[in-house]
Amino acid sequence: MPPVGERPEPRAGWQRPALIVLALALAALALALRDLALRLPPGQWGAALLAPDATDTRQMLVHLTVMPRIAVALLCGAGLGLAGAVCQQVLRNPLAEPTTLGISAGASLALSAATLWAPGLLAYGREGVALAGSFAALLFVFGLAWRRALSPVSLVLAGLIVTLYCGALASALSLFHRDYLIGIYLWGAGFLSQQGWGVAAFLLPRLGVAAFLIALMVRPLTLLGLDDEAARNLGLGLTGARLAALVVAVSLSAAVTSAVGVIGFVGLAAPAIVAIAGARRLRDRLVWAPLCGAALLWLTDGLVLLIPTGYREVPTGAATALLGAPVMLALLPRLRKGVLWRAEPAAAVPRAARPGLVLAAGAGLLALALWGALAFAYGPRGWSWAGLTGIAEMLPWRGPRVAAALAAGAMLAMAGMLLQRMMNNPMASPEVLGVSSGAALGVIVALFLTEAPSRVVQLAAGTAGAFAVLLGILVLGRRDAFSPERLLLAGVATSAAFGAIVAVAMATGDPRVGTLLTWLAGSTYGVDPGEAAGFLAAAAILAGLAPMLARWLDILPLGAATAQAVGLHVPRVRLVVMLAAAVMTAVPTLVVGPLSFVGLMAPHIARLIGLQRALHHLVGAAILGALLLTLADWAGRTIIFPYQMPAGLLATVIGGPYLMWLLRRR
Amino acid sequence: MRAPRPSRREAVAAILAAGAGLHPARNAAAAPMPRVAAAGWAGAQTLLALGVVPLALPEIARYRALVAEPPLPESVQELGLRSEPNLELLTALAPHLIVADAGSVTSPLARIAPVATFAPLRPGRRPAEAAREATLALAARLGRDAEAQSLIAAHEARLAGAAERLSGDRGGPLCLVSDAFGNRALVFGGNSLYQDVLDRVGLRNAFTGATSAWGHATVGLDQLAALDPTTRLVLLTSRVPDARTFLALRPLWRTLPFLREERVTVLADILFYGGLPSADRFARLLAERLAPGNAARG
Repeated sequence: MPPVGERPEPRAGWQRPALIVLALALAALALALRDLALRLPPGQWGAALLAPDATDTRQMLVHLTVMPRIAVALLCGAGLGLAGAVCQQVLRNPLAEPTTLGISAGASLALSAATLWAPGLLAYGREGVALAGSFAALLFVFGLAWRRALSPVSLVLAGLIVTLYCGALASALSLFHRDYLIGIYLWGAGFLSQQGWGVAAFLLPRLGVAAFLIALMVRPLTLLGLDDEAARNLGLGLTGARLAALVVAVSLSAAVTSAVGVIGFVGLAAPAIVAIAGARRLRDRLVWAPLCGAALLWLTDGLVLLIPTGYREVPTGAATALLGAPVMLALLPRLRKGVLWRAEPAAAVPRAARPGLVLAAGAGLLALALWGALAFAYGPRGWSWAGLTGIAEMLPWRGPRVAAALAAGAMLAMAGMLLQRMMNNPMASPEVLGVSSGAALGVIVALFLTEAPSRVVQLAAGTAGAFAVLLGILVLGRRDAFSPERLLLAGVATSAAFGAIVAVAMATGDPRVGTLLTWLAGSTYGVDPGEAAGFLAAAAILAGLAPMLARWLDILPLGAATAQAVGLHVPRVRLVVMLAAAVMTAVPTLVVGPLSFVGLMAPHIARLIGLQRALHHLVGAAILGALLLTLADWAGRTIIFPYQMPAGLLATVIGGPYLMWLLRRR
Repeated sequence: MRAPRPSRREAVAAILAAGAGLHPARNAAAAPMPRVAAAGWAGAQTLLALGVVPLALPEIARYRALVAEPPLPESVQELGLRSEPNLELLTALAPHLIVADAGSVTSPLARIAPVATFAPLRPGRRPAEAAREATLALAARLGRDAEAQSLIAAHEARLAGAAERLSGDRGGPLCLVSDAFGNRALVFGGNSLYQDVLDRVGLRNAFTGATSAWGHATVGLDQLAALDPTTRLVLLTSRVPDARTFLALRPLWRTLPFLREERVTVLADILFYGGLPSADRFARLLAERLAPGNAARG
């Protein structure tokens, strides 16, 4: 319902959002009427909705498939829009939506696990399983962030870690049990097709209850948008209010996810669109975000229905991401500074007394790890230690893998360090730029267009994808001095589109999905000696150039004003740093795939060890990243021989808990 | 249990010999067993059907569960994941030939031994023809042409036998589903391996929509509901013990006419991109479960 009685301040806060919603809804309505008219004469529409003639197949089809589908699209869109608006308010972060908190990842991991080990549980409804997974993931996130009274930054960071971790566990399951999980992929891509009114009846009461509860919480939620300090002064129990609002939003999104699968982007896009369109007050956003989400999803679904169904029916969830991303990018230049975003630097950590010594020890450790990775292995003859001279035998196999892991780890860690410093945001990691998603998209397209793309074709396609995204970011960011929040949003939009494409690829049941999975999980398996040499050389050049950015990276976290005051040309500096990070992300993605958890983890650990000066931080992160991926690659090809686990995946599985422990300790 | 491992020098010599071309291998047809490793299940199936036991195969336990036929001797070594067959182990085994499935990444394998890609499904070709050609091509590389001829003859005989057993079948068309979750299903259509078998045994496929190069498509229940009302559902999976369990796990499916009336037959897992052995397995299971007198509803 539109806020009829409200007197909007200076510039109408609801007019433009209302226009946008109306335009979306009218377009969707036109598509729906066209679809209905093709199926049934208008005179029978009422009968088909309310009292269909059971002997008339056309009426029954409209009653049982067409109309419930519209209802489900509207309900899901509204639910996701509302959940997203609440999350963004509570977390004070434009990237926040229930998926940022690990909900989808937790749900999908729980469903995969239940399918493999307790199929009987699914008999009681997958809703329950998905909800349990969602809340388990959420509890983990809260547990990690509790000590900081659930402050927005730590919550988002914890959510990101839990998401990546669940994702890694789910990929490990798919790698080893893919044949038994095809069903999950069929469901997980976000198809809205219906067979009766059951799903709509499931969603409606849940949406109603959630909307009622949120309406009760409008005042505390408004205060949550202020600083912690200001809100506390107003006498608001912060932790309790955050928890209550989040639990409602998460339950709602988990219900949607368990009913129709993963529909990404609506929860992110709908609140952002209405905010950018001028709904500045929370009350306006809470009204318009669900309406916008409903209209957006309905329209998207209408467009999906226009596509002639080939063997790959397009899931609506994938389409929302593909359609929503450009809408979001187009709206970005209108994003007002400070409307959605407050930079919140990570908590300070005591500085290491002797950073030089720490770095030297790290380098020594890395050298030992490299030797071990080449010489010590479990093979057809059991455990073997090749010493120094015997390394040559397996060098053609181990050499390229070790080199690739070393170079990829170092480059991704440096890219993550650059981004975290430049954006002054602890959740900035190489994948938020969208460059790795672009590269991965290129490779996936190559995989599905050709029967068996050669390595060269894959590299070319990946490079093209990465450059396309980079170009887009440059064009978009140029207008606004490359401000971090816009770059992050653009990157998230690209990543969302990417996730949708991967989901579609998985849902095809194509036998080559296994190859795709291992590559997505960060595998050094296919690297040949020539590639490894080129890769190492590229890493060496980039590592040699990166320290030239050190002074800038010391100054940038102090804020744009300070940087300007000491004589930096901030837009140019940001552009250079971003380009460097993009190249350092794209190159390893092409070789070992897009799983770059190392790029998030290594700079963090380096900072927590106490490496604070930019140069120390950079070198420390590079050493740690290289160490982490080298060890992961060694373990991945050793511990379950002759099976192998991709290095990126194993680094996530092993390094994740360590990072969580570090975060909890502080 | 295992054959004595070749020394490092022998292994290198073997690689060099294999790299020099496959003619020695062809001449060695008289020798008891060619040194062949299988990097994929489809190739392994046809190798075994040709009487060649591969040195190694990926995901052996999974092969025994999901592919099942032909049975795998104990001597075959585990090679790791299908997507990443272990290269160090393959090098140590020193095969003369590696048989990879179509669509897999072969460049690392080619550094160890010549690679033969086994492609029983090819765009634009009938699966039966493509499978036959792929079998003959693989047999020719191994010098097993005679075995290939008898394999094809046996395949024809099996299909003819199945057709005879099913000749009394008066039921409606079949809808072949290998996997289902929620309201989506993976169904097999006109260019699948199964379609050729159905054509040969005189049964109709209820699903006529577009499919992928592997002959399958993912569809919603609304599309299944629109199929011929006399359709019978055939589940190509052994993860469902019987139709009743299937329904209990998927309540939505009860709205479909063929499930309401329990027209469901559960077969077993079959490798849908396998060659002639997969077609044989499908034909045999179909005849066993559908033929009059065996009204097995699980």
